[in-house]
Amino acid sequence: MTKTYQYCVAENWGKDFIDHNESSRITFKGLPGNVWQVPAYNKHGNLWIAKVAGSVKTLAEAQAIVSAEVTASQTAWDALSDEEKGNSSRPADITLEE
Amino acid sequence: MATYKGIKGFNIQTVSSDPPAPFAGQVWYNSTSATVKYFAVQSASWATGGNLTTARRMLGGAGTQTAGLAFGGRAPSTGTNATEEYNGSAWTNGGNMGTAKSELGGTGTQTAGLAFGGDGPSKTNTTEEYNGSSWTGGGNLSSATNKVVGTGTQTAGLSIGGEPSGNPTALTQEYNGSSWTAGGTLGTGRYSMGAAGTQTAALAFGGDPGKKTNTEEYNGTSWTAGGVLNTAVAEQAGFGLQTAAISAGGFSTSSPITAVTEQYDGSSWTTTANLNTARKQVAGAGSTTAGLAFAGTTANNPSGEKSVLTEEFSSGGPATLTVGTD
Repeated sequence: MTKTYQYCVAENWGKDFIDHNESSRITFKGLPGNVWQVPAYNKHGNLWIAKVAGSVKTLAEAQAIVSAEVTASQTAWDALSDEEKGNSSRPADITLEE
Repeated sequence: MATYKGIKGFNIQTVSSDPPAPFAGQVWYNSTSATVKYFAVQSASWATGGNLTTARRMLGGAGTQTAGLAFGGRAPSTGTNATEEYNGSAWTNGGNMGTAKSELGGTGTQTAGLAFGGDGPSKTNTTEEYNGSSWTGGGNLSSATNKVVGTGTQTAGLSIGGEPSGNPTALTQEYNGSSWTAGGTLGTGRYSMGAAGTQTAALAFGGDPGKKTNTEEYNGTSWTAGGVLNTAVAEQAGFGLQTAAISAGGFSTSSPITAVTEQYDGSSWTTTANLNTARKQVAGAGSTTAGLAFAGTTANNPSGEKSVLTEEFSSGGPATLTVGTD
């Protein structure tokens, strides 16, 4: 199956981690665990991953990182008082797309 | 093989400096930089900006994209009094607020900021004014409230809605630089919404309870209905003017944390470029041509996951780009 997205891990250093040219050309999606989703088979996506020295992950690897972060957030939420829980809802699971 | 001349009917011009007024689609070779450049119209986009020093959410924000102000907020579970100033690329520490608080209203500029209401740790009616280096006390709101939003300036500010007693209020108050007086009443009481504009031409959109889509426009006296957001949302960043506003991120009915951004033209909302990182409880500043969204929470967890992330909005437009680089 042809994949639509590729994933990498890169820490957002701030200014121009993603610049306007990059953002106007492709769609980025920042995920828990410093995981980034960008289009697959795309020159601009590949150039950006190289620029930020991203560590490319398979879908399964990226999913494991994201899920671990979400699970940690859910555990932290579960430990809150009922009053604190009332201010929000439990962090939702995130399923990455191929 | 097709050539540029074969397609366009003329060769690429060689110039030593970029043309001062290129037209869309124009291509040239800059012999000084040894690059082929072109002029194109770019779409709206969010780029990453400098990271805040203090990660926080539910904060106050003011200023512009190149002179922004972040103050207060929850970091992570208690209020902070930290203030930071943005110069378009980096945040530096400013003077601390007198009282640490979150869920506060904020407006003004980097050198004339206004903070009011909030939770610190109980609901407060206090106001503080920033002069670019330190905060001093201002006039009190008529009642203590949190989840209030603000727009306008330090001497012509507007406090809109809030949650003073567990329920949303429709109250609007106007600040003249020293005291608050009652303004018009919102058609729909709400809190944690977006706001934009001035004291006499303001906008309130979305908000809680229930994640609203409706917009209201203020003329200095009364509120009337405006356009409807495409996505019901609260806890988003709002900035701009009554006729050119942005709603970015927030807590929507379809997602506890969204990256959706919408732009208002004075009558209707249209979706535009998404934030690169979805977030809620985020602050905003600036305009629809050069906006700012900063801090917030990137996971739906009240005890943590506060963010240092900043994103800069550009409405796009004509730009000179370099072939092979841009």
